[in-house]
Amino acid sequence: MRQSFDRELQRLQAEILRMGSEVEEHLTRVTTAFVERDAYTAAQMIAADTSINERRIQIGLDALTLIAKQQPLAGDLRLIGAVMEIVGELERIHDYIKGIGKISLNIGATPILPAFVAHMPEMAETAREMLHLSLKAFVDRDRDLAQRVPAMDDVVDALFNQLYADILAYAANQPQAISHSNQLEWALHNLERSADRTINICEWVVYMVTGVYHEMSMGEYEAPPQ
Amino acid sequence: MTTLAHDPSGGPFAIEAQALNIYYGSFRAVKDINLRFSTHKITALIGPSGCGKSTVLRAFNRMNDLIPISRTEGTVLFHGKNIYDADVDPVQVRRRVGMVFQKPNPFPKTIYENVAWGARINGFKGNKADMDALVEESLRDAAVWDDVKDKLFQSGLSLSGGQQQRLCIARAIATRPELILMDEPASALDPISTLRIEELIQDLKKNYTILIVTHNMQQAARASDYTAFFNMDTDRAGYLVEYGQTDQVFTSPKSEMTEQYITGRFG
Amino acid sequence: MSDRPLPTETPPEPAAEQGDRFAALYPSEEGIRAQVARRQRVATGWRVAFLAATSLAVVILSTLLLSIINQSFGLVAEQTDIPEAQLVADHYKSQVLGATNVLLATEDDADIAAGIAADANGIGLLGYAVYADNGAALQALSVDGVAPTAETVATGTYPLTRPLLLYSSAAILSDKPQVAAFLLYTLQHAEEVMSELGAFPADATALAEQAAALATTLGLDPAAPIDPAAYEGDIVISGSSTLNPVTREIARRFRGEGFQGAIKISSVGTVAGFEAFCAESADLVDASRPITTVETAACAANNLTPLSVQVGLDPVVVAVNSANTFAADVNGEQLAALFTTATNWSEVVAGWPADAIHRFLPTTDSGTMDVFVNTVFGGRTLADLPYDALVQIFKANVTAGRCRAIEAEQRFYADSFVCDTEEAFTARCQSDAAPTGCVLEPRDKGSLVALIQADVVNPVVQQAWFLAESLFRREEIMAEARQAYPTADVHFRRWLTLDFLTRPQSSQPELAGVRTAILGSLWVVAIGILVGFPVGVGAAIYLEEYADKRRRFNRFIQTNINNLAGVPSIIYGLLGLTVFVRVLEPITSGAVFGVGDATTANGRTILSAGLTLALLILPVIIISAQEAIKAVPSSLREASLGLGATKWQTIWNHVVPNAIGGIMTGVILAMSRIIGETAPLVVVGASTFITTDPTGPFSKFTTLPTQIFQWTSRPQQTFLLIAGAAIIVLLVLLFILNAFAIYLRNRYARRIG
Repeated sequence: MRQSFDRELQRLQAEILRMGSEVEEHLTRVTTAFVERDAYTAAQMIAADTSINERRIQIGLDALTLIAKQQPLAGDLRLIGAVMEIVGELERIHDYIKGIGKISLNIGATPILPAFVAHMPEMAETAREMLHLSLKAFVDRDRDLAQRVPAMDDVVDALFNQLYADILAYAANQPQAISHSNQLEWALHNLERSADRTINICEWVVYMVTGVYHEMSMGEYEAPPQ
Repeated sequence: MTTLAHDPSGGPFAIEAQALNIYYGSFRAVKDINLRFSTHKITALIGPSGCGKSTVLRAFNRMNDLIPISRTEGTVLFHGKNIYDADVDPVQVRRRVGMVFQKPNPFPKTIYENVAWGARINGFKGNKADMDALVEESLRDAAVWDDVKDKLFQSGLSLSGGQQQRLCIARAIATRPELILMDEPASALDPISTLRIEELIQDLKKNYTILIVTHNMQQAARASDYTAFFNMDTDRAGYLVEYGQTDQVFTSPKSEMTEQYITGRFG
Repeated sequence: MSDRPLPTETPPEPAAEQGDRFAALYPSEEGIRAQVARRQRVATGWRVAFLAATSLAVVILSTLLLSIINQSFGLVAEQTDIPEAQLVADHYKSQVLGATNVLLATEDDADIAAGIAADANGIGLLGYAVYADNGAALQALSVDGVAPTAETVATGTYPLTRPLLLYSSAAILSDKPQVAAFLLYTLQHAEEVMSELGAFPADATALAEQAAALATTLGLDPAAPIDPAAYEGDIVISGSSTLNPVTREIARRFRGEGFQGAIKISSVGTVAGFEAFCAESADLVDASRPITTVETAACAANNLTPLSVQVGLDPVVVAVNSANTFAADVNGEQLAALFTTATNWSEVVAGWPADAIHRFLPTTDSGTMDVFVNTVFGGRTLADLPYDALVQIFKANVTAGRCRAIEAEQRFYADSFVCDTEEAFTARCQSDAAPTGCVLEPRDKGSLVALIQADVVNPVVQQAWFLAESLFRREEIMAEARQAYPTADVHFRRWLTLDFLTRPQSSQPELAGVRTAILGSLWVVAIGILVGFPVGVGAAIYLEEYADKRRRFNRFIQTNINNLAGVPSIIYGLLGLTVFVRVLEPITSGAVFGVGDATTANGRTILSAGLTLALLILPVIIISAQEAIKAVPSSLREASLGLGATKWQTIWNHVVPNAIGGIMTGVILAMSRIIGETAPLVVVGASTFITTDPTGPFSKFTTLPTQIFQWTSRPQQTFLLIAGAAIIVLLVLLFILNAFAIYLRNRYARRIG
C-alpha cells in the first residue's frame, strides 16, 4: 500500500540529506577560507547560496504537493512537517555560511587574530558534526541521538565565549581597528548561530519520531554574552 | 487492550460501554469494549472493515436486536441504567438515542411527514401549529430548510442525496434525542454534500452528543473531537485499539497499529 | 530445404508472444472477428426463437379470441310461434278498432268512402284506388307534410305505402296452366290497367323482369303475349279489396280476349285471402302486404310454398270529409291519437273543433290496417305495451292451466286474479306445498315480457351459422335456410346483447342470459377476496416480520404454504364441501342467523363458495405478499425503529404501505384465478339451473364459468353459441375487475410515493 507515497517520502529525505551534506561541507570550507584568507573560496561559498535557496524552495514545494495529494496523517504528516522545517533550518545555516564568506571578503587582506586561526576551525568542525549527527538522527529516526546532539553545543558556546573575550580585548587595545573587530564578531556569531540552528533540527527530529515538540536550546546567544 | 484510557476528556459523559461483547451466533464480533462518550462532543469511530465499529455503534440503541442471531453481553450505561437490562424496552432506548444511517433512507412520504411522523408516534402533544413549528425548526437545525421549504408536501425521495441525509438528520432530531448515532452518514454522498453534513454535525454538537462511524479518515479528523480506533484481532473479533483526542490520534497516535491504519498502511 | 524459418506474412506480435502468455491463448485478430461473428449469430438465433415463441402465443391467443367471436355472432334461422311484432301489431289494431265512435269497420273500402263522404266529422283509412273514385267527397290528409300523389308514392316518401302483390305457388302454377297464364297476363297488363284505374303500378322494368322470370320458370316464351283463348279451367282469386278492382279489370280483359273458363274473384281482405289460399281453396291471392311467417307455416302444412309477384304500390289514404276545413296535415303522433286515444278533434290538435271524431275503419284482417299499424306504431316492442295489455296477451295465448300455474308462481296483480280464483289460490297457499306466488310481490313488467317471450313467442333457433360463414356465404345460407326452414326468420344475430347480460338463466338458449351468473361470480369473488385478502396478508406479515425463520416449525409452515399453492383446485372444492357445506352448514346456510334462503336449506351457498375460493387463493396471496414485504428495504424498517417506533408501528406505517403494490398484484392474480374457477364450485354445489338472482351470502348461486361449463355440455348447438358469448362476458368481466384493481393499486402506490 502507498508505495508511490513512500517513494516520494524517500526522495524528500534524500534531498534533505544531499542538501545537508553540502551545507556541512560548505561550513568547513568557508571557515577554512576565512582563517586562511582564501578570498576565492569565500566568493564560491557566497555564490553557492543561490542554489541552496532554490533547492530549499523546491523541497518545500514538493512537501506541500505531497500534503495536497496524499493527505498524510500521523507519522507521515510529522515527517513532512519535519522536512519542511529542517530544510528551512539548513537554508538559514547556509545563510550564515554566506555571511562568513562576505565578512571574509570585507576583511580583505587584513590579518586576523591568531586565536581565531587557532580555534575557529575547531568551532566549525563541532557545528558541522552536530549538523551531521542531527541529519543522521533524522534519517535513522534516532530520538536518543537527536536528544544528545544539543549537548555538543556547549563546546561551541565555550569557544564562542573565549574568542568573544579575545575580540573585546583586541578592540580595547586597538581602538582604530574597531571595524575589524566588529567584522570578526559577526563571523563568530554566524558560526555560533549555525550550531543553534542544528539544535532546532534535532527538536524537529524528536517531534517527528515522538509526536512531541520539546524545546532543547535555550537560545542563550540571541543577545551578546555579558 | 482494555487498559487504554477509555475517557480522554474526563468530563461528563453521555453513555458508557463496559466490557461489551457482541456475538453473532457463536462468532464474537466485538470483544471487551470499554468506552465512555463525552457529552456534547463528537466522537468518531474508525477502523478497518469488519472491525465491529458499526456493531458497537448499534449497540448503543439496541439496533443489533434486529438481527435475530445477535447477542450482547456486558453493560451499556445510559443515565446510570444498563440499557440491556431485562426491564428496558429497546423502543425507549431508541426514542432517546437517535440514529442516522449510511444510505439516506427517508420514508417514501412527504418531507413534512418524514419529520412529523417520529414526533407523532412518540406522543408529541402539540397542536398543528406546534407540529409545523417543530418541523420547521428541525429542518432548520438540519440545515435543509431553505432547500425544502417550498416543497414540504413533496416526497422526501424527490430530494438529492445530501438533502435526503439532512432530512434524515432533521427526522432524528425532531424527536429530541440525547444521543445521535451516525453510521457513515456521508459515505454515499458527494464531497460537497459530505462537507455540509460535517458542518451540520459541528452545529448539532451544541445540543447533542454525537457518535459517528466513518471510513473516511479525513472526515474523522475534520469533524470529531475524539476518535476511537477499532481493529480486528486474530480471532476476527473487533476490539478498541486506541481512543483519544482527535488531534492527538491523527498527528501522533500512541499505537503503531493506529499509525499504520491512519497513514494508510493497512486496513 | 533451409533451416531458416520462412518469412511470415505479418510481423510477429511481440507483446502477445513475449510478455503475456495468456494473450497468446486468445484468437488472432482474424479469429476474434470470426469468433465475435459466431457469437452474434448465436444471439440472433435465440432472438429469432424468442420472437417465434411470442408470435406463436399471439397467434394462438388471437385464434382463440376469433373463434369465440366467430361463435358469438352470425346468422340464425329463428322460428317463433307468434312473432313478437304480430303480438304488438294485434294490440294496436285492437286499440284502433276499440276506439270511440267507430261507426263502421268493414272489409270494403267503398263503404268506408261512402261513410266518410256522408259524415262531416268522419275520418277513415282506405286504399288509394277507392279514394280516387270518390275524389270529390273526400280529401286526403298529408302525413308529415307529404300528400299521397303518384310521385310521393313512387319515391317512397309517403310513409303509408304498401306493396300490392299476387301470391300463388309453384305447384298451382304447374297444375293449373290457366292460373299461370292469368298471372303472366296480369304482369304484362298491370301498368296499363292500373294507370287507367288511377292506381299505382309497380315500376315498368320490375314488372317486365318479373314477367320474364315467371315465363322462364313456366317454360313459356317471355317475349310472346299471353293468348287467353288458349286456356281453359277455373281460376279462383281471393284477397285484398284494394287490389280487387285491378284484378277485376284484368279478368274482364282476360275473358274479353277469349278465356273460356270461369274466374271467381272475392274481396275478403288479405288475411282471409291467405287463409283460403293455404286451405287450397284459392289459386291466387290479392295481397296488400307480404305473407307472414305464420301464414307461410299454415301453407307449408299443405305443402304449399308461396311465390309472389309485385304488381303495384298502394298508398293508404287517411281520408276526411271534404267539408272538413281544419285537418290537412298530421304527424305520426297526431295520427296515432286520431285513431286511438282521442275522442274529439280538439284532443288531437288544440284549435280543432270539439266535435267527436267519427271513425270509418277497415277490419283487423285488412292489409290497410296492417300498413297503418306497422307505420304508425312500427318499431314498438312488447316492452312498450302497458302491463294490462301484456297480461291480456299472455292470457289469450296460453292454456288456462298454464296461466294458473304461472299465476301461482307469481301473481300478476296484488289485488285481483287473471286466471285463478281467489278461493282456489287461498286454498293452495294454506297447503303444505304453498306456491311461491303466496309470498312474492306481483310480477313486474320485465318479467311479464320475458314470460310472454318464452311462452307465447317462443323463439326457437332452428339452426345457427358462425360469423365467418355468415359473412362469406350469406346467400347460400339464406337459400339453404329457406329450403330447410321455410317459415323461420333468417337474420343476423348477436348472441352477446344487452338482453343477454340482463336476462336470467333459461332453459331456452334464445332467451337465456347471464345476469344470475354474473351476480353470482361477483358475490363469490368478492367474498373470496374479502376473506382471502386480510387473512393472507396477515399471515404473510406474521411469517415475514414476526416468525423466527430459524425455527423448524415456521420453516415447516412456509414449505407447506408453498406446496399448497400447487394443489389442484378440486381438492379445495372437496375441502370446502366437507368443512363449509357439511360441518359448518348452520353458519353457511345462514340458519343460525335466521336469514337463510327458504329454498336452500343447506350449506351450498355463496358463502361456502366464497370461503372455499378464499382458501384456494390464500397461498397465492400469502406468497406474493411475503415477496412484496421482503422487497421493502430493511433501511426503511431501521429508520422507523431508530426513531423509536414499535415493531407494529413500523409494519403498519411503512412495511405494509410500501408492499401494497406487490400485495395488490398478488390479489389481482388471485382474483383472475378464482373468477375462472369451476371445479371447486361444482363440488361445493353451484346450482346447475337457477333463475333467481343471489340476494346475499346465503343464496344459491351459479357463476359464469360454471354456467359456461354447463352450456357447453348441452347437446343443442345454440347453447354452444351462448357459451361463446358468455366467455366474452367472462373475459370482459375479468378485464374490468383487473383494471379496477390495477387502478386501485396504482392510485395507492402513487399516494405513498
